[in-house]
Amino acid sequence: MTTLRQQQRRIFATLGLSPLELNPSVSPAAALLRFFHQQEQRR
Amino acid sequence: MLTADFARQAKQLRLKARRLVDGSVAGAYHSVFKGRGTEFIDVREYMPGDDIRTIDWNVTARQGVPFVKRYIEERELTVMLVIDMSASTQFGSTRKHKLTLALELASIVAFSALRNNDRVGLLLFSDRIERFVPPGKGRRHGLRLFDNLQGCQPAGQRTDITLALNRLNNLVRHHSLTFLISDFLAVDYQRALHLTQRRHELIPVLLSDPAEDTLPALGLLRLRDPESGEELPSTAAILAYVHSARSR
Repeated sequence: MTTLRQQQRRIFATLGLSPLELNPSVSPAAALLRFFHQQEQRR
Repeated sequence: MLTADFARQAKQLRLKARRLVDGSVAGAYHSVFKGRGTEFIDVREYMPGDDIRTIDWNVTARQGVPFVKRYIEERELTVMLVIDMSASTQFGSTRKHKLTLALELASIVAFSALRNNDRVGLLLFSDRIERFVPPGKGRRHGLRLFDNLQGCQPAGQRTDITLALNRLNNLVRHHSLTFLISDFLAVDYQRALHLTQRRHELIPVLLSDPAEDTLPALGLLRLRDPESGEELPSTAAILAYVHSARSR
């Protein structure tokens, strides 16, 4: 049995997409900042 | 339906986003997306204060006076905010629903982009297109975006990511930076993601809540799918959950 979460991970990995993960444990601003920094390092 | 509590939270978005963008987020946004989409226009004579790195040495040699290259800068970047407003995003086991998080993030991105003089558009969807605001810039457009973000009461319950992305690709023809904000609790959207990725720079934003992965220790539970309204008998629900947890 495959969960929707597993399907999501597989789809993102197949397409080479790195999702910005957002949940209540971290503020959207902090998540966005961290994501921007990661993007900048990649470029 | 959205709760009154949610509506109050939504009304605070604009002020909160503006405050955050006054901080470091706008700088980080500019830093990541600067210099994107730069396109050569023409050359003109060098003027004091011009960056010497933009001097076109071939033209300078031919004309005998320094010339610099001119570019259209990243100001032309188009940012699309595609937000899932289906019933599952209105779930939250803590103070913040997933949709609240989504709207907060969208507001911060919108403020950062508008401050960077980028064009920003909005597409809200569920199993239908709830709202579409074409890309634009400026203060008046910003207010329009926030009115739509705050005031949308979704009519649909379920999620159709493919419909939203197909509509995006039809309506926004030129390249954009697209934030697709969803919990991705849907099926059959891989092809649409792939097609969108070929046309736009796609950033999926994955919303989640801790209670989706770990059930609270409350004994027997009655679970209801907010999108279909279907209820699972408690024992079956727990067995299904245990089974899926083991298969992870």
